Amino acid sequence: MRCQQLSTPRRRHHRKMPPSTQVDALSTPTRAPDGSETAANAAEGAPARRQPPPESNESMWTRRAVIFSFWAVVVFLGLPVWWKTTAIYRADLPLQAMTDWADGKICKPVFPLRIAVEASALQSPDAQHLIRTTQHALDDLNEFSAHHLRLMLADSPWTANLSQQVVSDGLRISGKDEDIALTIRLVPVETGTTPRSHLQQYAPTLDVYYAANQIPPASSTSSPLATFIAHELHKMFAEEQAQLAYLLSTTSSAHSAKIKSLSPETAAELERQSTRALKYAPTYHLTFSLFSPTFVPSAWEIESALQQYLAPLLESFSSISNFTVDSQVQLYAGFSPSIRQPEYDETLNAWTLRKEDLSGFINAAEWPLSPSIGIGPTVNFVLYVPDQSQSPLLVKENGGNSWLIPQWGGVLILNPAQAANTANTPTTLTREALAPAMHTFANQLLSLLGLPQTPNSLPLRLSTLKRVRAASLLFSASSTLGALARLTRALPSIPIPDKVAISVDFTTDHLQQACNNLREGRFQGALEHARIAEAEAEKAFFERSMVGQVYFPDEHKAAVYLPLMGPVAVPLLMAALKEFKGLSARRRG
Amino acid sequence: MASPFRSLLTLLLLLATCTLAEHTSNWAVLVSTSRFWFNYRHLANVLSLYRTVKRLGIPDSQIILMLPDDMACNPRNAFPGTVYNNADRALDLYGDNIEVDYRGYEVTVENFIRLMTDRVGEDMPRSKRLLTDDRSNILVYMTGHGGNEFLKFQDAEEISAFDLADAFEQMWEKKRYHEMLFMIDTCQANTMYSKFYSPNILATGSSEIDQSSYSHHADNDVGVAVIDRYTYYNLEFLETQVRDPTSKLTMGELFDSYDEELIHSHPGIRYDLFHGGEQAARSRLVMDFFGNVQNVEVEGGGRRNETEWQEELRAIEGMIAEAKRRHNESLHTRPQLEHLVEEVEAVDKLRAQSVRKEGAVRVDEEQGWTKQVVGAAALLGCAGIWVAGSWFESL
Amino acid sequence: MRSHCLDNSFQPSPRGCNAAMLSFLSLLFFNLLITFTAAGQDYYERLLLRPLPQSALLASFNFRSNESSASFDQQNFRYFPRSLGQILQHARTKELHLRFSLGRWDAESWGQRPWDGAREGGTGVELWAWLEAQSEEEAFSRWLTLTNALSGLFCASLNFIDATKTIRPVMSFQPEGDHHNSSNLHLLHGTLPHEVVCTENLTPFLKLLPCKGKAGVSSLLDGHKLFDASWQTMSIDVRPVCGKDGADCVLEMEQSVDMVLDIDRSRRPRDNPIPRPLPIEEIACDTSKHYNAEDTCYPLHKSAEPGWNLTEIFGRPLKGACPLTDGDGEGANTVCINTPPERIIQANTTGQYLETWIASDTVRCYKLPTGSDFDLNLPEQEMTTGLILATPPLFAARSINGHGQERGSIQAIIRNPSATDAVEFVYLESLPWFMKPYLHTLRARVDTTSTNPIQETYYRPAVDRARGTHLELRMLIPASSTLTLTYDFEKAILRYTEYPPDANRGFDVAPAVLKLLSSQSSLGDNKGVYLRTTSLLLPLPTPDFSMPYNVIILTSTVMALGFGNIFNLLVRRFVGAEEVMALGAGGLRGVVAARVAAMRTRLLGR
Repeated sequence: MRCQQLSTPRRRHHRKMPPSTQVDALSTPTRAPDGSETAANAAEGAPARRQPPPESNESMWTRRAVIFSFWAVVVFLGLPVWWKTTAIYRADLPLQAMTDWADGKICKPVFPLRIAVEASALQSPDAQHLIRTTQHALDDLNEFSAHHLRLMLADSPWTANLSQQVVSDGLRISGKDEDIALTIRLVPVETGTTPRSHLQQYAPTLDVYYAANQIPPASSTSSPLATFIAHELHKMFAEEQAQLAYLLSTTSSAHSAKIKSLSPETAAELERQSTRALKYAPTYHLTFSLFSPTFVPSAWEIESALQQYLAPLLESFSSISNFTVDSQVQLYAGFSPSIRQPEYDETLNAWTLRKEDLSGFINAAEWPLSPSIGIGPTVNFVLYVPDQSQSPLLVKENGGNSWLIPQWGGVLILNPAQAANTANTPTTLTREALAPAMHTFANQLLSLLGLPQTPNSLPLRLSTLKRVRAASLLFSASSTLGALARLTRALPSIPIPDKVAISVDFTTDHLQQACNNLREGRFQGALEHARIAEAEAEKAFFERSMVGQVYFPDEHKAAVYLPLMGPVAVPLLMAALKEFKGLSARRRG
Repeated sequence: MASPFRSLLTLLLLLATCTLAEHTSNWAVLVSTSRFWFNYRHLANVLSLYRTVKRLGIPDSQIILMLPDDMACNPRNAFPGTVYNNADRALDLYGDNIEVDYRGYEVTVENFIRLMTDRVGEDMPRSKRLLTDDRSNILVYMTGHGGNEFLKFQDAEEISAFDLADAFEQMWEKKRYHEMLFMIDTCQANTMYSKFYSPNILATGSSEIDQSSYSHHADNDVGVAVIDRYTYYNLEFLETQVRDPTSKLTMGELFDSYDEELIHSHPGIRYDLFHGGEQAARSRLVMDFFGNVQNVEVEGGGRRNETEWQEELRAIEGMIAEAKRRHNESLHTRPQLEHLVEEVEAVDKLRAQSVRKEGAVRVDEEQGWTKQVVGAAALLGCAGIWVAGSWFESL
Repeated sequence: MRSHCLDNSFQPSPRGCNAAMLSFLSLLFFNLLITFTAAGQDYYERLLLRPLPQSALLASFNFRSNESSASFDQQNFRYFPRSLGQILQHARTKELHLRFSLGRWDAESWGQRPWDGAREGGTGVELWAWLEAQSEEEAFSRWLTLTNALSGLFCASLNFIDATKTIRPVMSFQPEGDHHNSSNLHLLHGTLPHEVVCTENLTPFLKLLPCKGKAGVSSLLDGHKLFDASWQTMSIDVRPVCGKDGADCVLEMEQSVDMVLDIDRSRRPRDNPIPRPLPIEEIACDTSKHYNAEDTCYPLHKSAEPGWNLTEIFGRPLKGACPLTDGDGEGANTVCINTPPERIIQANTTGQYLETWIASDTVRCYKLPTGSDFDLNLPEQEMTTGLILATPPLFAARSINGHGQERGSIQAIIRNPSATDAVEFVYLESLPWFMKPYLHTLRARVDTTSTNPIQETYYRPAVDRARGTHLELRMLIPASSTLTLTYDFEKAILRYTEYPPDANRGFDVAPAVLKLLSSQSSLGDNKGVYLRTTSLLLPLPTPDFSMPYNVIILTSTVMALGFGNIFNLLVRRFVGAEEVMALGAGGLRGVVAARVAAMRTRLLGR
């Protein structure tokens, strides 16, 4: 409606127009309704319309300057500020190297064990020959390439009678070269079956007794003695090899080729061990807790018991891990009520718990077992003294009174009757009463720490554990690096401070050193470095500031930016375009 | 053979019988994300789950409970110290034995993500951390007010499905879980797990996109709704079917128990991330997520040779004494930790030099007129300068 | 005698006068009763019950367990809880005081506080500790370690005690333990007035006790009653106690729970706590008044002491004695009740118990049976005598005055009821950083004299987001006069992200702590006499959180408008109105018109 009204006068007006002046007339809609002026113009023919004064140059230049300066501000100030304030700082990590570590491309762990042979009774050429043949036999037996035993002739002559072997050997081995995994001592004897061997329990020494005639002559390439020694050694290190092979196969796909040697039952056994054993930690917290459903016994001689029964064991582990020990007494702390109450068994004449209930025995709701502070795993050892009315309390299936909870600790039910031969529960448990419990706990601790069962020589088994731990640390640290690398690629919204980059470098070079140490057979050093590498890798991955901002969808971003940016950007753009048009037009015309 | 090792062998023989559980520990993260009294039911949801998993054996140290508000001791609560999830008020969820790990203002999106990815300060106590490894099964239960691909925390901030997915991916990369069950009871719940991409997650939610999830019923004495439907029927199954930790019911049976008529919304289940797909996921036991499957290894009560053991210990002692002696002689590399300890001590020594006291200082009130005089003098001076200036000007 | 009664004007019933003398003695003893415990014995516990006016009942539980410092250092814990012990060792904490409090002690009607206020804290959570550290930084980092660890142990948000909530009091707190053999002790103090105290805090508290909740007086502690009390405070105090010669030190942990229960309220059944009106025929009406209808009644105020027993008051029976307490001597009297001698008390139990009357018969103590339940039954009884409650040395009240979102002022009114002696005390304020006091507006007036009561001032101003204000005043208030302390403060405006989810509720300000210097503690130990005001609720200006996007749009629109105008003014060329078309710049209208005209000419041209 309105538009019609607007347009009517114009139409009228046009009708009066001569065609020649259409264009001008058209562009004068707001002329006075009386067409006099137009008529005059028309009569003159030459159109004399009011030209605006020609735009002066400097005003044009000022306009351009203005537009330019606006743009300059936007481009050189606005954009950088915007960029700076919205950017997320990401230190650059050696992603490729990290991934390579994770894939095991950089370090292929090998375990060369040096074995010294002391054959002082032999002439050096014979000994050399014997070692050579034995080495051949060994290499034939060994099917796990990463782990091989290298025999070498111990140079220093052995002079000590059999009475003081332990001491003297211990001394010499360390004094000479502590990286010798095992010392074989060839002892010529006349009596007894030969060849025979004896492994010392508390020194890494294998005594081989042979008859003089069993020395291989220089001509022969093999001899019963050599093969015997080879088989002995192979048997000795079979479990270690299996463990390492299993480790390699499970931790990284790169090594899976090497595990043809493992029979399924060995694999299952190793799997069970790895399930039971705690993850490696530089420090373990051992907690010994005495729980009783009543108020007795309210005291135990734990200090002396620990001192006597446990300290030596822990001491022997000190090269691998450290331990902190604490103990507590908890009264009125019965086992979990959720499980079936024990029933009386005439055959055992004891109260019995069923095996499937044992898993629920721990009364997690009321027993204060979880530590409140400190890093590193806690190993719990629970000594439970049942109520007088339910004593003795045993496990139904096998009449045992103790069990082990994988990766958690051990439980032992101490029945007062067997603790003290009195009718009622003593208020204090003496050190002697604690001895069996401590014994069980010691064994449980050994298996929880993943100490292998063979060979029957503690130093050897410790060094085995050392190697296994070093390797596993190596792998876990590398895989942590890989995970970090993948996350860095996957999640661009996560900031990465320089600290992380530093720790990553730290990790990688310690990994490298650990790897070299392994190659050179220095396993203690390898463990140290691997431990540091692991710690650093964890630190890098769990860097506190590496938490990405809350997800903010792009349409939201647009919605936030647009209200300001739109109205500002449009005039800027239009002005710029217009200027450019004007420029080009002026160029042309 | 020495006795500990012999008894270890006997132990192994016994082990051969016992079956092998794939995971060695169970953890539960139970989160209510809504504050204020009228959201009573969300806390009731979470506390019901808390009771259930605790009943089924997950220890408090492995349950992370997040309660943004305090209902039990809320002044509006006619039943002080209690939270009920049913109008019959048969079971007091708060009970006498409860440990809340994150409460009040601590329940934020950031803290939740930090908890999941374990990117926490070094002072964070263990009870507030998720110390899981590649052998842990985790149950994550969340409830609150949500929408399409987001869940509100305390009415102040949101966590989006993407954040959740990324957090879980980081956990997977660091091998922080073996299998995970993600349950969520909120409006449009199923959108929350739609963005997951990490393996071994079994996810279920109360309602589809554009569907609300409804409360079940209200208690007129409490004055508000006390539980949500989806949670209610989950609990009904868990409480009536899964009686004790030895239950063999599967997740499939739990999912089949969902009745859309009762729940008034379409619960969703996501199988595709789970290795082995649907039927593997359905065949998982309920106890694998809601209980604590602890696999014990019983040792024989077989006779132990104490004397042998004693002398063995003595021998070990001898060995250690020997090692110590050697250690003193040769430059043996000592365990790393001791070095660290020493460094720390050194630092302490350094610090000792620079003891600086901070705290309140004694303030004495101004007596006399000194300050006033000084102020007046200054004013007069300024005035004088001004006057002088104007006079020079007038010349 | 008479006059004595008049002093205690707040005393419940004039009948009390008859028993005044005797009960006054009793009070002395009552106080002694609490203190004497040999540090030698390893575990000690006691419950002291005390009826208060208006059918209130004060129950103060006290547990004390010792650990020899040798075995403590070896981490072999027996009675001392391992969880707490490890924390203390980890944070090198030598002395610890932790408080969880709820409600308000009504000094006007309940009189003197238990323990002279030394075992209570301000509303919420209060923590102070002496830590061993070489430097302030180290002390503070250990303090953070401590608060975090405790937050995990007690399920409270203690980790919120950061630099802004931590102060280092100068005069208000003194160590209770013997610290001969430890140097460089730092006292740090933090409060969380907003923290709610609930069952999850009681659970760990009970787990710290050797007998847990299973036996002894601790078996009475039930969250449902404890957190229904009109006033309750849980406290944990750890301190080293040494022999005379500084040798044979033990680490003593004292836990105490004090609560004032409303007897009528806590006798309600738990499943149905909502009170319903009695049928009218069961109400004793005031017959002296005239009723014009049967259904009206003016209920007569009951003068009789209400009847109650332990089981219904605490919601659970007392499960015998905790056998760890020594069997004979004073330590064995684990339940004591402080009433006039005429009050009838029946002890119901199947086991052996022993009753002893002490303090001229105003205190009855019971040696509990082991292994069988024990209950005390007090029937409803018309009393002829009452006990006089000791007058508290000071009354203190604090409030926020002023209006508006920008400023306010604090007013603390402290009254000294004693007619004879003046009281010297320390007044400690720990204010949040967003509440900025003006120290120059600090005024203290005493209504009786014109002298300035402020003797000494310690002050540490706040730094935004870094630390709070710490103000400590030593003041002297003359006898029977009232001190009014006022100062103004300014409210800061927080950042958007600093507001809590329930910002409109307001922000809590920690209670002020008053420590009396002059009056020695009647308990005769070095705990001191304390007094705490209630916490304050400070409303801060809060933005409208619901519409940040609207705010964005509005502001950007305004900015865009301004920008557009300025820009156009700068870049447009201005010409006369009739010169416009000469430039061919008719704008859109011109173009359209040109098109139309062109078509017309084409049509007409034919």
